[in-house]
This record gives sequence, structure tokens and C-alpha cells, in this order.
Amino acid sequence: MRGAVRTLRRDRWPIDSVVHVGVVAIALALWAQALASLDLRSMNDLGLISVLPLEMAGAVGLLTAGFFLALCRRQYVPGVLLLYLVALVLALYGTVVLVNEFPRIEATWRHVGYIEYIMRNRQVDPLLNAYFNWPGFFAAGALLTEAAGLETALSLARWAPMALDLLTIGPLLLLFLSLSDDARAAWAGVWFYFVTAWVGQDYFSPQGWSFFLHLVVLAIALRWFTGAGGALPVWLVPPAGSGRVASVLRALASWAAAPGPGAVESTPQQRAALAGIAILLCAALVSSHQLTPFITLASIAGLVALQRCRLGGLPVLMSVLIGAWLAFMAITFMRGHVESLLAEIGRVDSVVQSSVAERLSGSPEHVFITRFRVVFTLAVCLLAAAGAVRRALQGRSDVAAAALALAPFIVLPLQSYGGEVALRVYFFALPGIAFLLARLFFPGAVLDASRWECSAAMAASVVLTVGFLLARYGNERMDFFTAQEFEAMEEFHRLVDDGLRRDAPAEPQTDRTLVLLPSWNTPLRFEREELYRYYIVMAAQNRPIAVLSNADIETVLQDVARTPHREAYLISTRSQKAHLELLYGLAPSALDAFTEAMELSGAATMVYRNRDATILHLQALNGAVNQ
Amino acid sequence: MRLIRVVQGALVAVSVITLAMVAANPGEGWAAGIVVGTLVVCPGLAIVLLLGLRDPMAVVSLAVATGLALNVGVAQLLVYGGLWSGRLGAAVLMGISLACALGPMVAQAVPGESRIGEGQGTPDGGGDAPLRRASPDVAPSSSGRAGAVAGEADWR
Repeated sequence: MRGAVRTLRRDRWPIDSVVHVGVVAIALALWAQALASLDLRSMNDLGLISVLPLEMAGAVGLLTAGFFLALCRRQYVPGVLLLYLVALVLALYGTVVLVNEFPRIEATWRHVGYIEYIMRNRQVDPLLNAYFNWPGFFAAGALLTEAAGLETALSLARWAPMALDLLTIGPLLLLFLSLSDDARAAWAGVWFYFVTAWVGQDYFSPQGWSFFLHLVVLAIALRWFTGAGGALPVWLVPPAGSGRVASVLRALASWAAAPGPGAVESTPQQRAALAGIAILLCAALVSSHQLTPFITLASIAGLVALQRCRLGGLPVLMSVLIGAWLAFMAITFMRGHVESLLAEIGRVDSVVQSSVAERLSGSPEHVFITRFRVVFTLAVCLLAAAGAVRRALQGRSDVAAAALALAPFIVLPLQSYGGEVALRVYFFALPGIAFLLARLFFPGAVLDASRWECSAAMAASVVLTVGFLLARYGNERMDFFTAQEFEAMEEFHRLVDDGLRRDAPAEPQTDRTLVLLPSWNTPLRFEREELYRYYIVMAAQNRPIAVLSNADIETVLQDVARTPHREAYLISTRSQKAHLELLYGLAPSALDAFTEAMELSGAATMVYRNRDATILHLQALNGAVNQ
Repeated sequence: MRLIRVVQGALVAVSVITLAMVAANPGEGWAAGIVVGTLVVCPGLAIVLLLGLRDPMAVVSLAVATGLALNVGVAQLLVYGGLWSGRLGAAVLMGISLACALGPMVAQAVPGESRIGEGQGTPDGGGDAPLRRASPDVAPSSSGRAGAVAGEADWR
């Protein structure tokens, strides 16, 4: 017995596995070298790719070649493949985490602010913010932050994306192994997922957290409760007849009824416990995010309808949970928004307009990036469709994967989701899409992949990785925040600290400090978020770019004077400038000129300045504008 | 089986240490990271170990997801119940971890008790159902066809 174990261990790590470990080590060394020489400040509007050192290309190239060579061996070693995946995630997703001292993306800072609100006020206020109608993520964040003795969740927020991406490997692999009769397709699917997941929702956010739970629910449903298909669902029985439509329907029905892999063996007690865990995860999803539970519901319901999952009660239970949450816990939000939510149903044109067309603006490089994202997304979807077709031509089908890829589209005609729904649909559909994409190169139960297929998969991965870097980090110039910006924000909070009644959760509007921001893209709202009043030029003005370009401070000051407040500050930062230049095409010196005009007008006094931020106190308005 | 017992023993120790660290207010640095990691992983891992699953990837994924869900549940109960305290939340989570890790040890001492995974286990009496596909259409790699070298049952 012991001898057998020793043999197994030797087999598990044959000599060429040691070579692969060496390849990964060299790739990681190259990556570390790239990190050391990466200068984010030199970035142009093409984003991170414009400053990535050649070592990064070498690292990712080595990982890609090594992974597919290891995968296409007659006997591959799962541990080696996992090592490559971890290294890929570190290189593609960890780079921006490690080179930045602070969390990326402005929304992250606001989320940290909502957590700070709970820690300070020991409650949530659904009237204050829509997020507090689904406070699960923020409450859990507050618990972890407070228990760890941290003052803010900023350090959690910095590391969360990388941790979440690494953790995502697990449920993705479980899910794909459950979809596949060839484990190679599953491993390749996970790889392709990480080189195509350009919609960056893995930051410290309810949706990033919920997506991980969503994947685990799907993995439970398909790994331990798989319905193997093989028979037509009642509602899919094709009509009799000899017409072309009838024959197409029969072919589709036959495709949908093709048997799939079975569930792994388990005891009834294990299945009962796993179903209980799935219900617990669904309950956490329902209370943490507005959109994810609907996608999970649609995905599980689709799998059940196609007889690919035997958890028939889960969609029913989840519907009840969602309904109960909306009716009781999120009633504050629903009362104020139900009409506007219903009005958006069926307006696909406005959804497309807000999700795609309205984003095609800004600097020339940014417009290129935006168009590229559309092309990249369509290309990934087409490759996945080609994978499904290749399988169908072989007489096989991936019905469950297709269901996972298509289920998220159900929300497309229902909501614009603030102009982001198309992005979110791709984000949620990507696991199914990535698996089908892998099927293009690893189509069957023939366990030997041909050299042609391996080379093609490798080449596709290289091209997709370049596309991923362009699409994912195209906004990086505005997404990162410097230490100088953070210092300025801390200085601002210190400046107004004496005047704030920190224990008072709801001060009158006239007693609040007004913060004048040219753009919202500022790392400001990580604490005392609700104690300030905000005037954001980009949102408040009809022609904001003209106001900023012409340094039209009179218009802004008149508006500010009409806004009740106690005292007012203007904060101008590097990241605001990047945001306005990138997304709105503001001239590079315009924001500096606007800030300088404000200072020279005598309406404001500079109270703090460093390399990346300026804070002006609008003293001329102080007191005079109190209403 | 023995490994599961070792992990459960470690969970008991880690939970107690974490409770002490939370009481001592760890603050910034590695200690805070350890507390956060423990609060996320331990309660879920203690529960998932009761299932007797043998696939490490499944155990880790389920443990973290369950831990996150428990964090959400406990935190919301405290917020909506007007009992907010991060330390109390940590104590509840570590209590779950301790109860689920200690439970099997206590049960083992009581004749006639069994774990969730027992009853239809492997012939060697390990009590863990083997994680093989029920479907006959998957050929095992030991037949000489290509596939994963090892850990076949867990990684297919």
C-alpha cells in the first residue's frame, strides 16, 4: 500500500513537471522585474498596456506556452496546471494590486465609506443610500474590519480583488469539471475565463463578492445535483411534421436532450447538507446585491428546465427569498423606484444606447479602447459560438454551458442598470462563454488533443491576453490613486473635522460642509460619507465641459451660493483630471486653469496643495450663503 | 479521515487564538490579516468538513463561500437586531467554528453517532463516499487512455 502511494506520488510529479515548475518560477521572476520598473504616471489614455515593460510580455508568454504544453501532454498533472493558473491570475490581476499602494476605482472608496458608516453609527439607513437596502456585503465588511481592529476597510479593499480572483479558480474549475466529459476542456475553460474577463467587477464590491457566491451555487447545483439529460423535457417535445421549421426544432430538441456528464457520487446526507449550503449562499446573495440573485435564479431555473439540475425546489425558494427581501427589507428603495424600474422594461434600445453608444466618447485613445471592448466582446462570443457549433457537428452538446451563457441575457430587456447592464450580462455569462470557447479547441471525449488544436489554443490565448490587457485596463489612468491624493483627502477630513458633529447621523442640510468636485473620481468618500454635501460640476452643470474649459467660475460660484451649506471647499486632484480628459476629452491643462482661476478670483484661498491635489477654501461664500 | 480530524483540531486551536486576538484589538498589519482570514475561512471550513468531502478544491471553495455567507448573516442579524458589535460578531463566528469542529470529536466519544458522510462510505470503512462520476460514460484514466495522472476522482 505504501509502495503504491509512493509510486502515485512519483507519477504525480514526473520529471517534466519539475521543468514546468521552473518555467513558472522564471515567469514570476520576469513579472517581479516588470513590477519593479512599472511607472503608472507615464500611462497614456490606452491604459496600463502603454507602460507595461517587455518583461511582462515575456512572463505571460511563458505562462501561456507552458500551460498549453502541460495541458496537451498525454498525461497532464493537475497540480502543474493549477500552478500555471495561479501564476496567470497573479500576473494579469495582481499587477495593479501590487503596484498601487491604495485601492483602485473610486467606487471602492465609497464602499469603504459605507462600511465606516455602519461602524460609526451601528446601523444602516435605507433612506440615506440605496446600497443600505441590500447591506449584506457592507455589514460583513464592517464586522471583519472592526473585529480586526482596523480603522477603515481600506487595506481589505486593496487586497480583496486579488484574493477574490484567486478564489474564483476553485468554483470555476468545479463548475467546468461538472460540465465536461474531458477535463482538459475544463482546465482550458478556466484559463480562457481569466484572459477574457475584462469587465472589472472583482473590486471590493457587493457584486464581486456575490459573483463568487453565485459561482459556488452553480458548482453545487451541477456537481452534486446534475441531471444527466438524455430525455426531452416535456416543454421541448418538437412538433410532428416534415416542414423545415419542424425539422430545425427537432434538431434543436435533440441537441438539448443530449446526455451530459453525471453527478459525482454522494450520500443522501451529503446532498441534503450541500442543498442547505446552497440555500444559505442564496440567502446571502439576496441580501447583498440587487442584480446577482436574479442571474442566479435564471441560471438555476434554466438548468432545471433543461433537466440538467435536480435542485428543482431551489429556484422556487430563491424566488420567495427575493420577493420577501424586496417586499420587506428593501421596501424603502422599492417605494421610490418601482415606477422607474417598471418603465425600463422592454426598452432594449435605451439599454443598448446607455450601455454602448453613450460610452463612445472622450479622448481619441479612449474612444478606440471603448470600440475595441465591443469588438473584443463580440469576438469572444463568436469564438464560443464556434465552439458550440463544433461540438454540435460532432453530435455532442454542452447544453448546461449554453444555458449558463444565455441565462444572464434575461435581464437585458428588463433594466439598463445605470447604463451598465450589457457589461454585467457579459460578466455573468462569461463562465459559460469561456467554457464553450475552450470547446472550440478541446471538443471531445477524445482525450488526446492534437498538436494543431494545442497550437491554435495557445495562439488564441496570446491574442486574447493582449486584448484583455487593452480592454480591462484601458481606464487605468483614472482608476488608480496616488499616495499624494490620499494624503490630501486625509488633510481635508482633518481640516473640517472640528466642525463636524460626528455622532449626529442626520445633520440639517444647511449645517453641512459643501465639497465642490469638478468630477466624482476622487478618493474622498472613504469616511464620513454622509456628513458632507457634494456639488459635482460634471453632474450639476448642463454644459460641464464648457464650464471647466472656459474656467467659468462665476457660473459655478452662483450655483454653489444657491446650495445650502455651512462652508465650502473645492478639491481638485490628478485622478479627476484623468477622468475628465479620458471620458470627456477635456484639454490636459483645463482643470489646472479652472482651479487657478478660482484661486486668483479672490473667492477662494488655497489651504493645501501637493503634487496631485489642491484644496481651496471658498471663503468668500463662507457664512454669506447660509440659508 | 485522520487528516480531517487534524484539521478539526487545528480549527479549535485557531478559533480560540483568534478570539484572543480580537479581544486584544490587533490593528494594522499581519495580525489584522490573520483575523480577517480566520473569520472568513474557519466557520465555513468547520461546517464543510462535516460533509466528509474528499475533493480539496471543493472543500476550499465551499468553506470560503459558506464562511462569507455566515459573515453576512451574523453581521446583518447584529445590525438589524440593534446589537452591532464587530467583536460580538467575531465571537459568534468563532463559536460556530468551535461547535462544528468540536462536535465530531464529542460525537466520536459517544457510541452510535455518525457523521454526514458516513453510512454509504467506502469499503475500507473510511466513511467518505468516493467522488466518482455516477455516469458510466467517463472512462477512468487507469485504462491507459490519456487524462490526469493522479487525483483522478477529485479533479475530473
